[in-house]
Amino acid sequence: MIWLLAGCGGLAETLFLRHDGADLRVRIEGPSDPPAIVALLHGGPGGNSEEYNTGSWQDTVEAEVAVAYLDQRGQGASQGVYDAEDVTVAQLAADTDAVLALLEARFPGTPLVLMGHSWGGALGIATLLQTDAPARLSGWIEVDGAHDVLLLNRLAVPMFLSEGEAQIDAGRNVGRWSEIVSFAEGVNVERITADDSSRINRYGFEAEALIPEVSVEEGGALDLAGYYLSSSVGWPTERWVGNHTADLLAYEAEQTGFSEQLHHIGTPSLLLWGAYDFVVPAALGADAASRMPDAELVVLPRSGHAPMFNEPAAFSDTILGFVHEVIE
Amino acid sequence: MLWPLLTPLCLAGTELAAGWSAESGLHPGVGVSTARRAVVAERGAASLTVLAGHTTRLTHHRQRHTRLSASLDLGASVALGALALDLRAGAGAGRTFLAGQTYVATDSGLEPVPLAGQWGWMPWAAAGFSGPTRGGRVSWFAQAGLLAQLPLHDHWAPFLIADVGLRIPVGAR
Repeated sequence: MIWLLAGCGGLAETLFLRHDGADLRVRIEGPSDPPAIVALLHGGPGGNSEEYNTGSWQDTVEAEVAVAYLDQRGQGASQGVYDAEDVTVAQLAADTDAVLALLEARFPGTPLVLMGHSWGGALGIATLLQTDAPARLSGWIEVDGAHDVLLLNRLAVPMFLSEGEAQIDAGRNVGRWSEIVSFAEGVNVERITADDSSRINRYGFEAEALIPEVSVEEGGALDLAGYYLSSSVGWPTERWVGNHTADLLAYEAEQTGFSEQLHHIGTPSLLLWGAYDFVVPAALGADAASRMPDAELVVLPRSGHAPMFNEPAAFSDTILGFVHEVIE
Repeated sequence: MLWPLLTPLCLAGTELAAGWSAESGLHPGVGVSTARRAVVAERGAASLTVLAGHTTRLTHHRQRHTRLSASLDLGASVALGALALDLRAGAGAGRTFLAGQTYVATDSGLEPVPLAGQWGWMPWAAAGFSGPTRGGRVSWFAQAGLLAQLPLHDHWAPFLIADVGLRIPVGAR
């Protein structure tokens, strides 16, 4: 019933783009004649766009502009047949540019803004640096984007230490924080191993959950049951396919480091971060803002790694403010 | 597709089954299958039956694809009194039809792709139970298992399947 009602009276369209063997799904929702389209790159790798098409943030944003939810190659409801060698960051960036060209053709004259969350932030940066996408885009929004995994790991360690010690001093979750701080103290930030990186990621999510200031919108981020009921793919299938694609991309994604190239990005950019994101610390956003010629950093004070679900109203207002600014 | 040809062949003296076929719990579909059965062992109220037949499925995954698949099946059924434990597996193929307008980039721009989708192998296996309805001739069945689509992406993918329906004897016994 939910999907029967969804999109009534507005734009609710599913398109596929056949590109280099993949059939890439794009779900577009918003007003019937949108003044702009925000093309969303999901996190992961191994995630899917439907994880974002929920909660109040998308209702607010879609009331004013359209959102195009792209399922990346080998993830979500995208399909097709290709070789494992075709699952690379460069190929996914080329896919993204091709989808932007599709949106350009399908909605001629409508400004396009690209937005990427977490891994999608890294993919968006790759798209801006490696393809013709900048010519198609009015703006770029990076939300807690993992565009430099080596650097974000280095930045996460002191964040674990400083926040952990503050939480222990305040007597909050002392046992859990002590373990996290102990781990962080043992990490050599000049020589972070793959195991360190994996544990930084895991402890990052755990640390965020221990921060009382970080709220999660009721019914925002899909719980397992909600996701299972809403997924167009089927939960076990989506996990199976997504995990396989994540494995193919894992090494390259871990080596991703675009910081030194960020000064080439002239597209107007909004860097939107959660203050309590231990997975991709806001310090990475600050570093990016200092390198990019036309970028503004906004840090939401009660958010973690998924500010669209932590502070949906502030998140939506910031997104819409930026979109209106760049299309005027 | 082979199934329109296979159906009348398999109908002779066997059973026809039809039912609701849901994938991953909620993606709706319908299925039709036939089977010819032979009892290979009996002891008291217990019996072992083997079967051969075919299955055709039509399933819709919203915003993803509609899939038509057909298979040739083998199976076995262990009956204990009125209730039977059924195991069934099929080797088959099918085609998907993408659930949205599909475009491909060409030198002259974007062009629509009519009836876009893909062919693939679609084997499946399921286990379940069956038993007689109150009337006697018609029996009910419920089964769950996995259907694989290969290739998909660079690999393959499993889909959970769950079927409930009725089996009706047709033709001469």
